[in-house]
Amino acid sequence: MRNKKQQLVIGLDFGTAFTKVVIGETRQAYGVHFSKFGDEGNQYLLPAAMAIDSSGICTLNLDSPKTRGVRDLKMRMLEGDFSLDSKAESVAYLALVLQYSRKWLFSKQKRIYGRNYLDWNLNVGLPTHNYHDEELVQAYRDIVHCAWVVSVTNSNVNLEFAKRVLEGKEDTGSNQDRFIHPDAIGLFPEFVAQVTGYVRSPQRQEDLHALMDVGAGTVDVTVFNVYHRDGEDFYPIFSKSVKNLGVFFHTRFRLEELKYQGRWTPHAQDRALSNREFAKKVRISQQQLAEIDRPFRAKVSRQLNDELRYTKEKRYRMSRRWEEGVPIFLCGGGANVELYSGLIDNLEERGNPFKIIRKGLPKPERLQASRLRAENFDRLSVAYGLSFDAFDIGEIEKADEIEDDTVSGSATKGGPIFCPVCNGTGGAMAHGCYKCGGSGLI
Amino acid sequence: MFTKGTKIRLVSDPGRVGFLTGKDRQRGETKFYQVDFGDASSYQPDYEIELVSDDHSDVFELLAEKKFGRLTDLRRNLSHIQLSGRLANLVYSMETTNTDFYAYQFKPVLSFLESPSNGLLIADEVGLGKTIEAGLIWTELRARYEARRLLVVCPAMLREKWKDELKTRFGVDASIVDADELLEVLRRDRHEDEDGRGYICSVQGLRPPRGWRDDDSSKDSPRRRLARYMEEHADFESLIDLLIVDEAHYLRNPESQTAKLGQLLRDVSENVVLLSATPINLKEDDLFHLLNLVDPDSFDVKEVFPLVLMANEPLQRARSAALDKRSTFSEVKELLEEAQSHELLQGSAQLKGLIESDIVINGPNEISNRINLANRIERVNLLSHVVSRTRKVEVTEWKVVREPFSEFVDMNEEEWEFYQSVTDAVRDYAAVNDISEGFMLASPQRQISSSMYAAAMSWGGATGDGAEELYEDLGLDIGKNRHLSPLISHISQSVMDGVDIRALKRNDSKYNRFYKLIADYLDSFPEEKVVVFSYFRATLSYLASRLNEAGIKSTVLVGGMKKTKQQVIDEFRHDPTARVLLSSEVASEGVDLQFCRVLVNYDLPWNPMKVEQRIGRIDRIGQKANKINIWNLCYANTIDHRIHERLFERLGIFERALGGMEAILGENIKALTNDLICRDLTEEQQNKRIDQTALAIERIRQDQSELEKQASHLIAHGGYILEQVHAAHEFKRRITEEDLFVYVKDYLEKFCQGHQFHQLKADELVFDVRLPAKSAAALDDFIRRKKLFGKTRLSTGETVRCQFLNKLLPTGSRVEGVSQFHPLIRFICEDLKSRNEAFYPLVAIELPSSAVTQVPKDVYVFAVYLWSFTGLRLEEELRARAVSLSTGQVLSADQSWELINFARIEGSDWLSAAAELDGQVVEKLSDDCVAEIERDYKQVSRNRSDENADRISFQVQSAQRHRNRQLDMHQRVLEDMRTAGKKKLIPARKGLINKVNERFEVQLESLKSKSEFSHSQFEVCFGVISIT
Repeated sequence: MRNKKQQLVIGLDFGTAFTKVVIGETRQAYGVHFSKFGDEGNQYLLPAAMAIDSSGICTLNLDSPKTRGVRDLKMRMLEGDFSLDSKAESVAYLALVLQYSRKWLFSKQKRIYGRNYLDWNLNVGLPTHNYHDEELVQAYRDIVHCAWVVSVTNSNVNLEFAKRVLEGKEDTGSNQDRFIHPDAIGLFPEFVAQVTGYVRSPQRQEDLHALMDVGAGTVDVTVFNVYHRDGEDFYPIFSKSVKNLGVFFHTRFRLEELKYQGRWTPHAQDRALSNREFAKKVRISQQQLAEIDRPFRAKVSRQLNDELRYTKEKRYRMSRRWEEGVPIFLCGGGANVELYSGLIDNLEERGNPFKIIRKGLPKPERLQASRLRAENFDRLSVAYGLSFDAFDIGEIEKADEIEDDTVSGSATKGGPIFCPVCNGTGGAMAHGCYKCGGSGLI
Repeated sequence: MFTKGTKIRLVSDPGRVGFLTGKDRQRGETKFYQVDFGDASSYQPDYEIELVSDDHSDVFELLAEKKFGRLTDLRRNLSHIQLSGRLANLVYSMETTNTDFYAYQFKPVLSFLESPSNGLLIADEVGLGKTIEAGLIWTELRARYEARRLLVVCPAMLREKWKDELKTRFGVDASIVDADELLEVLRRDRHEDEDGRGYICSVQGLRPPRGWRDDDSSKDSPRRRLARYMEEHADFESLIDLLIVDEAHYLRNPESQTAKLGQLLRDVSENVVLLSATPINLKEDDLFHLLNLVDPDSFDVKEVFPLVLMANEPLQRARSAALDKRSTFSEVKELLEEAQSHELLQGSAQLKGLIESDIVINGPNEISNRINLANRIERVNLLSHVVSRTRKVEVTEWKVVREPFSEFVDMNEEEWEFYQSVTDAVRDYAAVNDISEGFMLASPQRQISSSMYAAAMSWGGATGDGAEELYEDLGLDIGKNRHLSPLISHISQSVMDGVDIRALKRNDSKYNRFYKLIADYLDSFPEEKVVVFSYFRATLSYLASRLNEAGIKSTVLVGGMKKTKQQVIDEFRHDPTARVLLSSEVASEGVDLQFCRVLVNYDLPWNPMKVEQRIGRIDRIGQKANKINIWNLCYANTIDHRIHERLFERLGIFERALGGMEAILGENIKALTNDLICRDLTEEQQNKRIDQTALAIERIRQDQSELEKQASHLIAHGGYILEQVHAAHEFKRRITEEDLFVYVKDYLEKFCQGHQFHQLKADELVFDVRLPAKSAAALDDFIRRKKLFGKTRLSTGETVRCQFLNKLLPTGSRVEGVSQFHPLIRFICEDLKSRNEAFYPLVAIELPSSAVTQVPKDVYVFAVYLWSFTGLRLEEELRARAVSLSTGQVLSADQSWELINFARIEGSDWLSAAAELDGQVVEKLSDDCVAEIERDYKQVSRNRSDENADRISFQVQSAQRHRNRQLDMHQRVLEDMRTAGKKKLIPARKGLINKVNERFEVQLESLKSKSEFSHSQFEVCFGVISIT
């Protein structure tokens, strides 16, 4: 049994504020716990920051003496800063994350994997709207690959060394066998990763879905389809929008309305306060706060409804979900903020022009993360989705690749027209889909 | 090799089996194949998949390759066997009902399962919960055999109580029916009954009228039709799954019509449970007659009964010797040989087997060896599971001191006059109308003894039938057929004119005394509440209004109220302003009054058992106080006073429980009542008469404890059964909520794509569940076929909030409770069976040492087998053995099972087992387990075979006796017909005689076929458990 080959997939969610890692294999997945490096409230979240000392040695320990801190690693890349310094810092940071994660797995699960020959795979998430920016994707891929090389070459991660690796000036030949095959690195839109956990869960349903991802800065609303064809998952995106209605903007809006600027400057990394805490801090009642929030809440509500309306009118008129209710996922760091969660619950209960059903993302049994509270699973859901084999993570079909709905069929990408009722699956019922008779096509 | 459609499994998770779809992709040097697992498809690297030749992989081969599966494989496997099987070592009713767990209440359940005649007399003392025990038996029958039709026959007064208890505690929706309705029910196929229904009838409502056999159509009545229908169907296909007769001592007089009803019902019922606080007195015929109902074929001839007992005598001694540490096996054997010399036991295969076996009782497991031996001896005695009896002194769960205080209230002049004139009027009426049944006449006087004002007021208005009071006061069930009106009008006319009713209220000596007592108490203890009992409804209403006037809020609890009694009690309990509960005893039966520690008897029933029952309402399990107070009120210098002094005090009934003397007391009290009311006795004569009764009761009580000792023939050894119950409870030998949850989840994930199964809170098993259309339709079809209507909304395909809770809750709550009886569970069971799903048979599990304290830290190799025995009945048993890796020591069967069971419930995957263990060692140790199980199997199947043979021969004899009994009866009838010259009827009767003979032949044939005892065993699961 010695040296049995074992596949392990590192799912790495490199976020603006925090990085999350889940390592998966077919039986289990492990949420990497960052202990003292992790966020105080939830140690499965690693701040997207590191410290560098004068000799260029990097560490995740931000309290390390005589170091300088580096932040906004991801932000700089997304903003198009591909300078060598910036890239090297990202390489170093990700190398630290990879080193830590592998070490963590061995310390915790040595008995299971200690004697195996490990076949590593690495899946990394990308912001969905940047997924088609080829320059960015290539830069990302380089960074991730170099990060792996750095992580297995020296136990110390040095910024200068990272630069040399990036420039191809470093001879790393002696470590070749520990390198990862370029094909084993997968880059996936965060949206797909987010949905994968659900789609690969027993609760999976097909047809129309919506997802509202509330981040610090933005609220992303995506209306999409889930369907299965020849054993593969596809997620055609009917409609999506990104608006600056995230938690940070929400707080800023409140302070402006209260004429409170100057006395309190919000930051993206701040923990969102509950309504009660906020009201107490600015000394108003919760009712008054609700009144202040009203226009902002209306904007978020409009963003969601606009996407649903567009989909219903133009993209996928025939979905049975318009009758039954469109399942909607609320995720992201701001999902627990009352304005957003309350809005969805309210729309679900009180009715809306578009019937929606809020779906939770339950903590999957495959995921081992004993200290993760069930309600916090959605913070790990992207990393979890990335911990599946790259071939099992579905594909999106971009909004602009999908034709508008016609009277007879739903949106498709040219070729055969899939049945709008069963979405080309032929239907799950014994006698097949009632519209297409089980063929999946019309 | 890896082509489309090839069946494969995962190397690292061999329980996961799928088919190749034919698609593959390449990454680096590794090829990935797409595998369809049924619930999902995924790409797997080539090194992770391997071919599977067939589903039924040889577990020994898997073991050699150390291909360990996972915890879910074990759970699925065991849960399926437990839920679909009829396992002997599992108590299906445990923790599934809405009752607190008390071990002794499961004694009857286990006795019943062992009972060869499918009948049991539960003769517990009052206050131990016979109703609950009967309900548990029904629950067990429902779980094991899908029993559908339950009939409860009880005194009319207890019908509502039964209805309520069945609903709230056992989730059974029972209807109260009369003879006509019951007949309609019996005409339907019992398997067609809806699940979870039941029927309740009063004894009086069903009792066949005299002459019901006569072919005189002018006498036609529903009760006659019912009796005739039951007689026609006697001994053929059963019409009732379980018959429960409450207060069964009413059936004990074999000449009465009530007893006839018992026989008729018995002959159409598959199973019978009789409830009675009857003392177990072998010298009294009463007991014999009840046993005759429980097992008519073994207890058919009264005269033979002593012989059977004599034959059993050495067996009893052998059993005691087996349990006695000082005796050796050869001493036990001598006694067994003595038993064998009796002609009745000469043919016993079990006894022969025991004598011939070489049993070692000494050694490390001496205690369990001795208990097992005692149990085997007990099984030789086929009469041993006929009666189950628990006495209060044996129950260790609670002990309460009773502190009685009696107040004898002097009547004022007006009251005295009123009391006397009513007493005289009743006697006059009795003399003039030549009425000798004292209990009818007792009513008015018992009413004024309760409350003069309430009695006088009630006579002015509509008069009840008095049945309820008579039942609560004297313990007599007279049914609802008689009416008191003539007597009351006689009293009204002769007495009431001269009475100033308002004065009775104004100067109510008893009430004044009561008020003083109660007001003081309530003032001193502002947190407490008090229960006040009266047998007279009018008294309760009167007290309520007077307390109200005095500013004390009270709650009245009587039968037939709009709210359920539980609602009334809940409101009373949680309303801090309500201080006094005014209740009748029957109305408060079955509800929890233990939150009170003070009880007031505003009036005193004459029947001491009824007083005991009142006290039993608060002196029962759940009473938190160490001491309870009992305040008795009665008029001084009345018969009540004398009964109190001469009967109650002498018997000490307020201080200690009477024990089960209900049946005997009833007769004595009835006679006493008659004499006291109807005969014109002087005070001295009355005293003498009461003394006589007291003496008689005292003597009965003494005899009883003596006789109790001799009756062990009939009562299974309580200790052994209790031990089984404790083991079952402690080692979770039952279906748990988690089992059900895993079972459902697994099934949904595997077979119901697109389902919803969303857990609402992490620490509660509450889910929003929705089945996909296809599964919902299949469930709907199943529900229709099995008549499981109204139990679930899952078959509609809607989202349903479900809680996994293995309890039978009343239907209609917002959250659907999923217990082992839920249609979804039964559906899954059936579906899995029909799919013939193979479960992966080898697992590796880790278990924290905190979960199993009795087993030392180590690695254990185990094997589980399913044994199946087919003879007179089908029985299955899961048998396990585990062996320690470090010492090689084999654990006992119980310990092994405990270990595996805890691993099932609290374990987790041990993924590194294959890497850590030496395959050869594991193989060798599992061989040891198998060898040990093989040894057990041989022993147990031999015992079972012997037992089967004995049971068959016993049943053959019974059938012969039964036939002879029937033939005798028909012959007698035939003779009568001949003498009476009813020649036309003779051919039909002869036809019946032929039928009896034919039926006997058929029965003999069927028994013969069952005498071929067959047995088999299957491997269920092997594995390793690491306790860390």
